[in-house]
This record gives sequence, structure tokens and C-alpha cells, in this order.
Amino acid sequence: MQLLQLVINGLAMGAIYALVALGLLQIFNAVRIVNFGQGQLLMVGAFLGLSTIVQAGLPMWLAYPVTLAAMAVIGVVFMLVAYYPVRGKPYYVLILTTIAMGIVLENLALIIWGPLPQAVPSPFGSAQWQFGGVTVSLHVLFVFAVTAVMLLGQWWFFNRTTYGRMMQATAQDMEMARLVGVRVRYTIAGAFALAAVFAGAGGLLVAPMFLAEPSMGGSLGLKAYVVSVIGGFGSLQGAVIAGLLLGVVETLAAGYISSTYRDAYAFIIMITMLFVMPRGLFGEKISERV
Amino acid sequence: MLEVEGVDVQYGPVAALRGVSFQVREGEIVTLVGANGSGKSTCLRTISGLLRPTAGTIRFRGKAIVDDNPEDIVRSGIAHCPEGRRVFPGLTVRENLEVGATPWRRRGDSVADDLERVYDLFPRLKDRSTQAAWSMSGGEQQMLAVGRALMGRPKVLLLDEPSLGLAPIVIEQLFERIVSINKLGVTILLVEQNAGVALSVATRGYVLENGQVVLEGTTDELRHHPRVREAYLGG
Amino acid sequence: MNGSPVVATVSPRERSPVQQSRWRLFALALGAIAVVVLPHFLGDSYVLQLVNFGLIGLIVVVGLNYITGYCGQINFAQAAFYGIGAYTTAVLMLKGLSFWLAMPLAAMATGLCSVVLGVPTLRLRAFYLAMATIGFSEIVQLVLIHWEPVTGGTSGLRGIPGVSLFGFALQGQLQHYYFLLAWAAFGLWLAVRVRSTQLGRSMLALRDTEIAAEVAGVNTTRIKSIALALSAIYAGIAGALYVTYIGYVSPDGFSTGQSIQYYTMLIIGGTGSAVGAVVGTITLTALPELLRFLREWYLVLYGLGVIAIIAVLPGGLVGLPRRLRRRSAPTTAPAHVSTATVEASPAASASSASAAEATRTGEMILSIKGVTQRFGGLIALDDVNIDVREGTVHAVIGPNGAGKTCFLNVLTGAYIPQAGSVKLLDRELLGLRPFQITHLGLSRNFQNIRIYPSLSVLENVMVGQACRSSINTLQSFLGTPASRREERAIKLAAREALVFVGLSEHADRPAESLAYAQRRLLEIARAIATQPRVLLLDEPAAGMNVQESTELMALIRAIRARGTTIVLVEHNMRLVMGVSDRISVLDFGKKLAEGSKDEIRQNPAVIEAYLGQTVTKDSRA
Repeated sequence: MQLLQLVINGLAMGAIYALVALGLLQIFNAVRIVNFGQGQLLMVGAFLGLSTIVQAGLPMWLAYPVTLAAMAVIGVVFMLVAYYPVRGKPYYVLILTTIAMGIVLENLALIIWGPLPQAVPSPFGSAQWQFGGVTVSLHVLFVFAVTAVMLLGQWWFFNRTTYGRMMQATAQDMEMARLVGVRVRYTIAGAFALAAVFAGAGGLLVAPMFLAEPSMGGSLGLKAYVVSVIGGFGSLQGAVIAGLLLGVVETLAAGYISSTYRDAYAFIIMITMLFVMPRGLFGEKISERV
Repeated sequence: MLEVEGVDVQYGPVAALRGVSFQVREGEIVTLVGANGSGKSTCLRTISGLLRPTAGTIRFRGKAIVDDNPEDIVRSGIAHCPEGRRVFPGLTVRENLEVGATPWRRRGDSVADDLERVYDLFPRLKDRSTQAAWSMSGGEQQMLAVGRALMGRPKVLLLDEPSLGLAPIVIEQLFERIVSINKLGVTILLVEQNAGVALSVATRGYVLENGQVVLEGTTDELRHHPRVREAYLGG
Repeated sequence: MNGSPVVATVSPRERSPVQQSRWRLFALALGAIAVVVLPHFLGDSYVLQLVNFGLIGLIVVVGLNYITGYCGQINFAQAAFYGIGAYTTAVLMLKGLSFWLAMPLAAMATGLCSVVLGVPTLRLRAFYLAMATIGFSEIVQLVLIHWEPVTGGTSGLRGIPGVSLFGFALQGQLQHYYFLLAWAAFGLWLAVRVRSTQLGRSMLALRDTEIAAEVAGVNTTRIKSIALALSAIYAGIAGALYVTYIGYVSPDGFSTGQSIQYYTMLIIGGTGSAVGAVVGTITLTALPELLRFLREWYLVLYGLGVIAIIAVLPGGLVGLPRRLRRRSAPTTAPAHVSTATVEASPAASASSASAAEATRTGEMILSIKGVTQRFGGLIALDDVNIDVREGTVHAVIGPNGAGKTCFLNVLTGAYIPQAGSVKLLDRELLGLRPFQITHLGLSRNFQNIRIYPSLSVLENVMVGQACRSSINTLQSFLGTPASRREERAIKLAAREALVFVGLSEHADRPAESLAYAQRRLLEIARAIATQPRVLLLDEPAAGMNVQESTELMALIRAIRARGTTIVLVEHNMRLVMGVSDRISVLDFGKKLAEGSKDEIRQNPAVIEAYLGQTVTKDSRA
């Protein structure tokens, strides 16, 4: 029973990792940049949840959409500040601007919301279900549901809408996309907005499980990178599967081996992967051009 | 219809085009021939707005377009089908074509008629409409690239090396299609290294060398010009 | 060799104009005096302590410059290496070892860690090293915190003895200052010096364009590993200095965040020169102190400032004065003219060779058998067989897309074909890395020119000498007499190659200032410098005008006259017909024909392939 309990807890954590990683890949696939500020975007989402739900007292059904809409705007601002002015620079320089943006967000959060960890309620309060010896909080089920909906939504958006296809075209060949009339500035902004929305959803879901604090982004962001590497950079299904796997492995290892090194497992797995299977579970898509 | 006048283009310190001028009249097929690196592709990339000239102007139906973005130029009716086909590899054939309709499509507009038109020209694309673009052969990809450009309802089609890497039989089919497209009322500016094929379908041509227009004339004149024969037609 | 008698008359021009160098020397001396004297007035103050920490940080950042600045790779574990150095020293010294024993051991430990981390990841695409170093750094942090019996956990280790120098224990801030200054100066000196060694040139070359560095004979994976190890060793030594300076160590200051801070210092200061590291370190060490009044807003503005500097100053802060100067005064062109007699173009010396041309039938030197290369469903090369005889110019022609460039890529190791064999004399080339192929005697140029823009013209060619070097990296790094001798020999040979292609008067200009046709010549000079047995030329005449391509023709003949076999892939028929001894025609990945010029000219299949089908006739209205 304990095993099952741990697996469920692990899956919940893994779903969050997957959400953040999906946002990360959104940007990577659009502009080939690893956004090292993704975790901080998640943190902002958590605090916006705090502001809308607790401080402004909005009902949940309103607070969530408001938060996500605000995140979309923040995503666009993120792009305008950290990507647009420096596009075309070498990657080892670009990587720094996303880090710098993360620092900016984290410290703005510190100024606005203060350094103390704060509780953000779940739409389901602390309701739980008991199945035999296993306890499942309603919030955890909610996490699964939201992750599934976001995934489906993303799939639908990319494959069934004109705008989604334009974004795919931009990611696959930016110059060609311009030549067929796609306004790539908007689709890139869209990618950043979507990435921020994913991060925001992650933040809203994580905050009730732990607490919202300005420094929460760093470690969650790192996990998202780990998940992306393990899944194979660029692969969406790889990120989801690697995210869930990592969540479970981490929880089990912490439960059965040692919780002292809980955070180290992810990195050990990642480094091992880099050594034995550098392209990740689902391989990086490499298109060879003659 | 399309006038290029005294255009200079620099790649860093390198002058890629030097005072290039030529015109394309409505309904024509005009070809630019020349060796690798002579500036043919640069011409097309400049017209479609990917490159900005350091001097000179480009007018389309009397209106200067040199300062426009590629996104706006394609909306004004100039479609550029660049070298190397450049289909969107992860999209299906049909999705590639639908993205091609971006220049005119508004929310809810149907692309069915345009799709039919392209499928009529290239029946192969209809058979393969749900296949991913990367999995198609070179010739099919080239047809898709041309079809995608047509989906934008262009007045002028810029074709860059459509014969590249294709077998003779495929080239033949493709160029027949290019002629039919032209007969549908689309003006064509064709860049080709394969001067023989290009001159066989075009009405007029220009020869580029080292970023300059060195010869111009009707296809017959060019075909019999000794310089062209020696340099591009293999003696 | 036809260029050798010419060499003696080339005036070596090592230094920039005398006046400028005198001014620079003066500034340097002034700076040195200030650095030595000023601290006396600070006494044992807080400021001096800050300066001392700054010096240690400087060593860390100057070290990072090897892998990030010179090689363009992302290392987010520099603070972790620093920490490993610090803890290793601390543990060893607490066990009773002296600093002078513990410090080298600590440096070795960090170097070893970096090799283990780097060797598997440096072969992969760039951001994998970033990921691996982040992972490593996080693990190190956790180990430092949780491995209490050894590291003392969060409270760390205390009571670490100080350094004694010739029996005197260092005391007070000022003595430490001079001690640390000596280390920092030494580290900086090495980092500046390496820029003018074969190692440094190889690093910059691979940062500019990795494949071209490989083809010039640089083992890029090895060079990157060395750079990473150097970075780690610098950090390790800095760690040893740190613990002996303050006497205790705790896990703070070795986090990934700290690594990113060092990385920022370097990028902000300016990559590519060790001076940038100094500027960045000073700026970001002093800034938090100076901007204290901003309090919680400091980090917000810091982040935005970093982005702004990256957006506005591509070269970092160190490029600021140059940028301002460029705005105020036009750059003066290096109007230096070398001895004109030397410049008698290669055409002159080559004409005699071309007379002796006739049909050549040397030994078989390069043999290509049954090579097939597929990309997905596309067959780029289909069972291609070509034999090249020594001392000939063998042209490979064909329409665009016929597989010519793919053919070259197979020969030089960029692609590994599905079937076939490529032999240079008796050595199989398939499966070798590009630099190994270059070492065996096969070199090339690139159709889309790939020079190293951040190096000078001469240095570009010197990189090509890498594979003829017998000096090991350590010697080159430390500047032993043998390495200096070789450096001179390399320079001489490079100048000779430049004379040979007719670029010698541009030797000291930055390579990016060359015109198009000159860049092509530079690539050829670089390829010649590897002393190839076979030289592959990929469309060398592309973009050249008639006069330039005539000169090129003479150059190709001159190269053949030196005994180098040439494989020429070209569209320009005038050039092909002008220099080739034998011609192979590729069409749709297959060999269509092969023979002498005349045979090819009259081959109906070839004429048709080049003419193309007369497609739809004149079916137009």
C-alpha cells in the first residue's frame, strides 16, 4: 500500500514537472533557446494565484483564468525583454539573458510578495479520498486532470487550428514561414505566451501542495530541464513520460533509499543518461539537409 | 509588373549584387541564369524582402516594396519558392498547403477551392495529402513547395532552382506544370542553373555574372549567344 | 618547394606600430605600480578584504574564460570546481599536509572531475555541457551539505591553517593581498599568453567554426577537454587560496547560482580576451557595494542591466572603449605594403609548371570504391567509384544536386556513407574524424567560406599547421624553448603559404576584413598549411570574376607543381577545362562518365546532362 501511495504522490509531482517542461519546449521549439527563467515564471504563477485568490478574494473559477491571462501577458513581456533585443547572438550569450530575466522575476516577487512562504488554497480545499490504505487528496486528482487537459489542449491547438500550424511552421523553418506570410514575430510571442501559461498552470497547482515563495522557481525549473534532457530535447511526449517517470523514481528513491539526497537523484539520472543515451528517451529530432 | 532597378546588395564586406536592373511584365516567364554564386538567389531573396538592398529600388505594380517585410510582400502578391524546397517537414502535405494560404486567409475562410486547384495541377499531392512532408521524395517535395506558394494566390511566383537534384523525367513534368501555372495567369520569375531547361520555357532571360546583369534578351537570342553557349550550355 | 627561396625576403612584422605599443607599455607600467602601491594606503580595511576576495574571484573567472570565452562552451559548474578545490585543500590541510602539497592535489582533483564530466559531453551539441555541468554542480552542492563526516555539513570546516611562504606565515590583509595578487597575475599572464599559442588559436578557431577547425587538423574534442580542465584547475587553485585565506569553509558560495554569477562576470566583461574577465570581475564585485542604496531593487536592475549590456555591447564591457572610438574616428586601414618583389603572383612560377603538364599518370593516391550515401529516401551518392592519381588535377563536375558536395563531405569525414570505401594510399578514411583525415594528408576548403573571423589572416593559416606540430599541449601552454622555436617555424611556414597564394601583405589584418575572393585564397592557404597530399577544392571559383578565376587557375597549377594532388569540384567550365588532367562527371549521384578533357567534351551523355532535356519545347504562345 505504501508503494502505491508513493507512486501516486510521485505521479502528481511528475505531472507538474511535465507541465513546466512542456512550456520550456514551447520556447525551445520556436526559437531554439533553452529558457532558464521557466521556473521563475512558475513562481510568478503561484504568486498571482495568491493575489487573485487570497488577496483579491476572487472566486476560483475567475481567479484561474485571470491568472493564466496575466501569465500570457508576462510571457510576451519576457520575450520582448529577454529574447527580442538579443536574438541572433551566440547561444552561450543568449542563455544568460533568460537567466537574468529569471533573476529579475524572482527579485520582483521578493519585493511585491515578500520572502516568506505563503499558502495558496486549492479549489478542492483539503478534501481527500481513502481507498483502502491509500489516501488521495482531491487536489492531486485535479493536478492530473489539469495536466491532461492542458496536454490535450496543446495537441488540439497545434494540430487542429490554423494559428497552431503557423506556430509549427515557424518552429520548423522560420524564414520559410515568413515567405508564406506568417508573421513570425507574433507566433514567437505566442510561443512565449503559451510557455508562460503552462508555467502559470504549474504554479497554481504546485502552490497548494507546497507553499508559494520567491525561491521556489529555481529548483522546479532545474527539474524541468532534467526532464527535457531525459525525454530527448524537443520531444513533447518524451517530456511528459520523462516527467512522470522522474516524479515516481524520485519519490520512491526518497521513500526507500534515502531522502537526504532526494534532489540529487534527478541529476544523477540525467548525467547517466547523457553518458549512455545522450539523445534521450525519444531522441532529439535531427533533420538532415542535403 | 515587377521592376528591379539598380539594386546593390552586400553580404558583410562582400558585394553580392551590383547595380542589378531587370523587369518582369505581366504574364511572362522570365529567367535569370548564371553560375553558382553569381547572385541569382540573392535577387529573389531581395525581391521577397529577406534581404535589404543597400541601393536601388524594387517596384511591384508601380509601388516600391524595398522597405517592406517578407510577410507583407507575400500578401501583396509575390510568392517566393526558395532553393532547396523548404517544405515544413513536420507538417502533412495538406497542412503545408493550408499554411500556404496564410497571406489571404481570414478566420473561417475556406481553402477548399484553392486546394482543389493545386491538386488538379499536382494530383500526386492529393494522393499523399495526409503524409508527412519530410517522407516524400525530392520531386514531390518540389511540387509541394510550388503548390504551397500557389496557395497564397500570388500574382508573381519566384522560383529558385526548382530542378535542383531532380531526375530528368521529373524535371520535365515539373516544367510542364510551371508552364500551365503561367497560363493560369501567374507571372513567373525563374532562377535556374540548368539554363537549358530554363530557356526552353521562358519568354525572356537575363544572364548574371558576379552580381551583375551581363546579358539580356529573348530566349532565342540567349540560346544562340556564344557566351551563353560556352558558359551555361556546355559548349 | 617553390615558395621556399622567397621566404627570406619577407619582412617579419611582429609588432603593431611602435608608438601604440609604447603607450600601451606605459599604461601597463602605471597600472602595475598602482596595483602594487595603492593597497598600502588601505591598510587592513574592509575594502582590502573585498579586493582580496575579488582577486580570488578573478582567478575563477579567468579560468572560466578558457572554456567559455575561448571555446564558446557553457560551464555552469565553475563554482562547484572551486568548491571541490576548497574542500580538498581544507580536508588535506586539516590532516596535516602543507599548503604546497594540498593545493596541487586539489587542482588535480578538480581537473580530474572536469575530464570525467567533459569527455562524454563535449562531443555532443553545445547545451549538453550546460546541462551536465548544472547536474554536476547540484550534486556537488548536495554532497557538500550532507556528507558530514568529511565536509562538516552545513557548518563546514574550521581552523584551516594559513599559508607559510619560505617558513613565514602570511599575516594580515596586505601580505595576503600580495600573495593573491601574484597568483592572479600569473594566471592572467598564462591566459593572455595562450592566445598566441597553437592551443589558443585552436580554441578560438573551433569557437568560430568547429567543422573548419577539424578540417584544419584540430582535434576539437580534445581541445575543448583541455580548456575545461584548465578552467577547473584554475577554480581548484582559487579554492585552495580561498580556504587558506579565511581559514574556514562552508557550502555557501559553491552553488550553481554562484557559477552563473561567474559566468555573468565573464560575458559582461567580454569573452575572448582574458582582459574581459578582469573587467567583468571588477565590475560585478564592486557593483553590489557601490549600489547598496538600491537595496532590494539591486538584483532587479542587475538582471535588466545584464540583458542591456548583452543587447548593446556584443563584445562586453571591454569592447566599450573601442566602440566609442570607432564612432568618433574612422578606422584607419592597415596600409602596410610588404616587399613588392615577393608578390610576383604564383602565376609566374606556375607557368613553367603548366608547360610541363602533359598527361600525368602517377601512382594511385586516392581510391573511392562503391560509395553509397542515402539521406532518408534520397540517394545522394549511388555506388560511386573514382580513382585519383598522384600529382594530377582531377575534376569532379556535374549539375547542381548531383552529389558533388556530398562526395566531398564523405571524403573528409563529415558524412559516413552506408556503403563503400575511401582509401588514401593504403589507409581507409571512412569512419575517421575529420581532423584525423587531415592528419593523414587530405585537406579541403569550403564552398560557403569558413574562415575564423576572430583570428588574423596569418593566425588562420597557423591553425592549419596544428597537425604538423610535434610539441605537446603542456609545452605549448607553458611556452618552453622548444615550443617557442616551433612557434617561429609555424609562423614562417604560414607566411610562406600566404606568399604562395598572394595574401602576404594582408597577413596581420583581421581575417574578417578580407574581401570575398581573398577569403577563398585564405582558405586555400590554410589547407596548404596542413601539407596535404591531396587537396580538395569545393567550388573555389564561385563568386570570382574572370580575372580572379584566371589567377586561381595559375594557383591551382602551382599547387600541383608542388606535388600536391588536387580534387576539384567546380561549375566554372573554363576553370575545369583549363586545369584538369582528368574529369569525372556525376549526375544524380552516379558517375556518368570519366576521362580526359576532350573525351568529356565530346561525351553525348555529358552534354545532355548539362544541357538538360529540351523539355516542353517551345510550347508557349
